[in-house]
Amino acid sequence: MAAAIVVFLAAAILWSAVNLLKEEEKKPMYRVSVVVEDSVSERWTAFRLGIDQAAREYGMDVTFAATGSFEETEDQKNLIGQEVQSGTQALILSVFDSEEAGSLLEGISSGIPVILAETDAIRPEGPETAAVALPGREMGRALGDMLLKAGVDEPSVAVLARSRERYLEMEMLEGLTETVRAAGGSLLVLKEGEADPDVLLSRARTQDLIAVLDDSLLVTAAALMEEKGLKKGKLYGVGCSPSAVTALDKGIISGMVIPNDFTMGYQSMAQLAGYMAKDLPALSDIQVGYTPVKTEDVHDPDVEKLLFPLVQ
Amino acid sequence: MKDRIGRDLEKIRKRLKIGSAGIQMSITLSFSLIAGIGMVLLGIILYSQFSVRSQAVTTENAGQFLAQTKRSTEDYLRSMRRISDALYYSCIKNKDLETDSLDPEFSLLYEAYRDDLVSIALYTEDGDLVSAVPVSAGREGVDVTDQSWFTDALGTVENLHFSLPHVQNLFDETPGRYHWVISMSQAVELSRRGLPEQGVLLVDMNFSGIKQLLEKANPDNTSEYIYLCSSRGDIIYHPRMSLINAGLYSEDNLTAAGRTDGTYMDFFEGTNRTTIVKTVSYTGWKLVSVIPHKSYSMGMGKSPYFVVLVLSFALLGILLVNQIVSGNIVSPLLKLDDSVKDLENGNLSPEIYIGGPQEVEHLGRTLKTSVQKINELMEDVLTEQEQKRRSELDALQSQINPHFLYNTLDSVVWMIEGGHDEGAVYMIRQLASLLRISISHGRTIIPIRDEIRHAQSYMNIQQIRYKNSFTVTFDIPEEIMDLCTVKLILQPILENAIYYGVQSMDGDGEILVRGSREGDDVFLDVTDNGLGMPEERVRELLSGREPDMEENASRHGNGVGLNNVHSRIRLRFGAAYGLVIESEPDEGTTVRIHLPAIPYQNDLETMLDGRKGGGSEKKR
Repeated sequence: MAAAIVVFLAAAILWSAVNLLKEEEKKPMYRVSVVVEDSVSERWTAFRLGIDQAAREYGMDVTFAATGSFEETEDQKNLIGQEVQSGTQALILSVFDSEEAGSLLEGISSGIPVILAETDAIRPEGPETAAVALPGREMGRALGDMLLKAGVDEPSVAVLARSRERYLEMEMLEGLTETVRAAGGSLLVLKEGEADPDVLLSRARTQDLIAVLDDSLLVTAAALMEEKGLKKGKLYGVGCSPSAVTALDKGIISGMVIPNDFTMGYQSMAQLAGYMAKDLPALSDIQVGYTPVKTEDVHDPDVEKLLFPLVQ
Repeated sequence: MKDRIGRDLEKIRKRLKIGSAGIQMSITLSFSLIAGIGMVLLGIILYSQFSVRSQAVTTENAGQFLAQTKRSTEDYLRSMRRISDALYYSCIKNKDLETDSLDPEFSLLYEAYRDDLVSIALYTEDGDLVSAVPVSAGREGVDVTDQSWFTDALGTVENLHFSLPHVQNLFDETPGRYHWVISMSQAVELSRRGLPEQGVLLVDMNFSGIKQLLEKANPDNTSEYIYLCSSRGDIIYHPRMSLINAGLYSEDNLTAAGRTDGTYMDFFEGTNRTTIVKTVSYTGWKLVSVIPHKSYSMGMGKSPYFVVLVLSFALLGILLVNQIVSGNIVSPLLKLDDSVKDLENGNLSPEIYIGGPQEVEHLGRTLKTSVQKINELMEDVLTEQEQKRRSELDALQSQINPHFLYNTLDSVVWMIEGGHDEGAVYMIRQLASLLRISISHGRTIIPIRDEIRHAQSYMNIQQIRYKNSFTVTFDIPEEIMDLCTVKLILQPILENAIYYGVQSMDGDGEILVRGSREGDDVFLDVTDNGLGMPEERVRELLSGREPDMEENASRHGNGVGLNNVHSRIRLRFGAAYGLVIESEPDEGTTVRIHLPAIPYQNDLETMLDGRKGGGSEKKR
């Protein structure tokens, strides 16, 4: 009996001493790469803020791959390969061409979780891939509603979109078309690559209203309109960059659908942090929201908090 | 035989070993268990005290830190108020708007505090811009009269008003440049052409000043944080403001805003936390410090291992010390136990161990004394038994005294030959009665009635033999007849009275047997008026010295003396009882038999013997 107790106490001493002397396990800092087209674009400002916030909270090392404009999917694919080779452990991607998302992801070795931002593109099923997406169709409908409230009956609407196939824009266009046509309006879709911006804008101005489905196109259109001193009240669009917000505040853009990019970035990183720390069994799809804002609402206290996170 | 003894001793040794291990183990485990429980209880109490104290210290530190942050915030706001006051009392009050420009003084003050200020502007009560720095032109389409800072200032003119943080949109600034500001506004008295009119002074403080101040109070590496909200609960600063705006985090700001200064325990969003609220002077803003309770245990991850290590070491130490202490306690007990076992094995003079602690030593001494007393008592019992056996043998011999029997029978023959048949019959009857009582079913305790009857039979025979040369009188009250006595105690005394008292008195001899009771005592007195005896002879009679048989025979012929009677009474009833002899030479002798007054019962003898073997001893 006494011998058993002594053995038990000796074992307890050994166990506790070993645990006391053992180095406390440091929480690993996972490295995550973000690969999006034109990484320095203002369009990613709120998205980066969200990613940085989550990276701070969850102790993640985040790298924004320096990119310019991609010519084709292969450019993005090569960049992802470089990031993987340099030791990244997870990826956040905004797919350059949604149609080729599958082939883009095929090249990524298994064991590297991937979050697809913005759109729920075609992708292989599995626990290591998920999308933190915007509701494109709903955003298109919200943009259509703003156009219909612009004071023009059965408006003709020029829609400016980027040239390549992006699911988000396609969904937004579908939603916009449904809404405008339902009100008796018509649409003229103009693609970025079809002509110079000046020419495109001239064509668009022939319509009652202009709707732009891409942030950079919207900023370009707003700059051209301001430069040419064109009549205000025609330009609407989807965007969230500070330049677009400034144009909205000035009234050059009359209304904008603002995607909640901060939440998109935060949730993308939070998902990866949870999955890599094994708190989550699998990555899961998340849909984030948006806010339609008109010029006169820019300085509403709640809208200010959404539009001006940079300076807060 | 030798092997068997060896095996037995081995068994005893094994038994002792097991026994000692049991006692020692019990003491060790009991002490260790008590000490262990005590340590664990003490540990729990100390840990809970430590925990409570730690929480109190953390809360106190957070409170002090919050108070310091509050002072810093108040100092900052006070400096902003001084700017506003300086603008009003040094610039605006002394100027006439019709003739004087405020721009130089405004610019001067703005330049002096440009890090903290975004703009300074003065409006008339109609909302017209009078003067502004650094941008002098107001933004087109902006109507200040419906802005809260303006209406608040004119609503309560005596106060200085602080707005919530907002993006300034009053002036045509550089495109794309926005400032988060806190507007400080107050109603001022303007002078135009000597006539007073009301206006509003607006000082837009750079929100980054408050933000930096509070960011310093919120280090990144802790879960505790401080936030600032208005008296209505609108959050002014929060370290997770972006998340709150995006709906990814929530705060209990409305509850905090409704509280007075103090410390509160909250349960919010599944988290227990301590909240400390302090109100910032003048603005009514609330500085709130939030301490999640999980932060109390941060940095103590290895504490459980340390506690287990200390407890295990302490318990091991206690166990070892208890083992040594219990060994020291048990060792003398085992030695004493060996002595007892030696005694149990039949050694009546064992070597008793005397040593060890005081109590064990005392136990040893007591045991030794007890063994000695047992031995003495055993010797006493043996001696007593021997005396009793010899007394009983003497009494038995007296029952079958051949001389007396021969003389009696000879007298009977003589009577029959002389034709005295009736006398012969009487003699034989007396003899039969004598023998019957002598036998008494083997009992040694009989009623006094039987003893008297025996004595009467004996004396009847002796009177015939001695031809009535003496008289005998029995005076025995009925009340003592059923009390008990040792049998055959009167006969030897009467025999002595005849032989040494009245034998040769030619008819004048008198023997009186008288009984009496005094309380719990019974007395039987045998008195004769014979020759008596000197005092030395009296002392000799009861001295216990055994006269030899020849001497006895020469003196009275039957070999049974007074001393024998005296001893038998004392053996049965104790030393308080027995014979008392009073004698005067030529006067006579009285022998007093002293007995206890005990009513006779059939089992009385067994009770008086105090042991079962009494009956069988009598039979033997």
